[in-house]
Amino acid sequence: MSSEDELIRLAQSGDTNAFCLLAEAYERRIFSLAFHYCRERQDAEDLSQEVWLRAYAALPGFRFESTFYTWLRKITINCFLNYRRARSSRQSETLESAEIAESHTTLHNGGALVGFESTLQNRLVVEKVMQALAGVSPQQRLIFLLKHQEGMTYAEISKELGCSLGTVKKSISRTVAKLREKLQVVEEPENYISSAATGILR
Amino acid sequence: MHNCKTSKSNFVELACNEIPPARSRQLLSELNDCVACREEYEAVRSTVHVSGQALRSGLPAETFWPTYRERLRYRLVSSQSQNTKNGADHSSAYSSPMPLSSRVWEPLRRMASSSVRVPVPAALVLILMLGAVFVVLHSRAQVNAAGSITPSVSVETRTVQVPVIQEKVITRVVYVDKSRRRGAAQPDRTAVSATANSVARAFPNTSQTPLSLIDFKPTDQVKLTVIKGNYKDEK
Repeated sequence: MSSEDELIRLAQSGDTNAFCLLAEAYERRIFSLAFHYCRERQDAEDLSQEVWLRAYAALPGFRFESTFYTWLRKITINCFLNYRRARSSRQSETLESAEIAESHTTLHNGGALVGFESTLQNRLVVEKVMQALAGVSPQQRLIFLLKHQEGMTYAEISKELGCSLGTVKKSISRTVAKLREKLQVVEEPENYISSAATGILR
Repeated sequence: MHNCKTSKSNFVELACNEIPPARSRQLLSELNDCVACREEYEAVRSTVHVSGQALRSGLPAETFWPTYRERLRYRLVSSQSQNTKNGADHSSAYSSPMPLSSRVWEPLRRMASSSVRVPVPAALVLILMLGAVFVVLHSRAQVNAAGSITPSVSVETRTVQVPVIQEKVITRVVYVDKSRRRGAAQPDRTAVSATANSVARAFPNTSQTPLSLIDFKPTDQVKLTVIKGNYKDEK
């Protein structure tokens, strides 16, 4: 039995510490997904914590028939869909570019960003990607995130979201077209990050 | 045979590794012969790659996570204690007897304040059906009301005097004069004897002479006469 399975069993019996250790292993992935989906840091924090609370409540029903992360991702997607429904009833989905930039700046102010986003040009690329994703519908954004952040296949996405394979294909194509328009990526693939940023800075 | 339009429609899927290997190899070999398609594909692939990297990079710094975990732990513990409290309330509700009024009132209150989730189409159908039933009942009531308008009935009581034929029973006591019976007065002997003969034939066992009411006239005024004495005195 792996240590993860052991933690799951302990958490199933009501051990909060074991569950918190499980959460630590996947918190970054879930938070990142939530942040790119709802585009606001506070919302992302609330949404990701909601995912963990639901997972904790549903954990006694976990039967080890899939990996823990696959099970957790299902809960995450359901939470996102509920969040979208609640939000669409509250306000319009379209955000202004300034608002997106502001929300992203809020994320930056939370501390120094790591990895890819640490340089200015890459940061600009990330902001452009965020702006492009803000211009597509929540479902298209979620499909794109599941494909390119989670690495799910078209078939898996269509199954998880309950939509057709054609919808997934069309959705990805539209999002890529939108991103392409924003990023203006035309150079060689080896240099795309820098060149994309250069293109934006021009 | 290379077709630019067909190839371009597959570029996003090719960049996303969603095309079978054989078809993928075929498309890539076609790109070597078509510069426009190759540039187009490289642009799509770069976009997908950059976007993927950007998405995977957007994480807060390490200083963010301790606060995040503390908050999560606090929420987990509070939700757990809430559940435990609810469970305790639930069990105590069963262990200690509730007053009768609470036992009756509480389910009623819960029923009145509870809501049922119904799909919108089903709710619409239900509302339409109720509306149709209401309209039908209303129109039927109107028709009944119109049909029942009749002139008002007034009951008149009249006393009518009807002549009633009352039969008057007249009881007459007829007295036979002794002297006349013995033959003093014999106005019509033949008629009397004929009558007597017929009576004698009718009553053969009677030894005495039968009485006859011939020549007797009923009187309007009955005068009662008390005769004293009895049958023996008469003899």
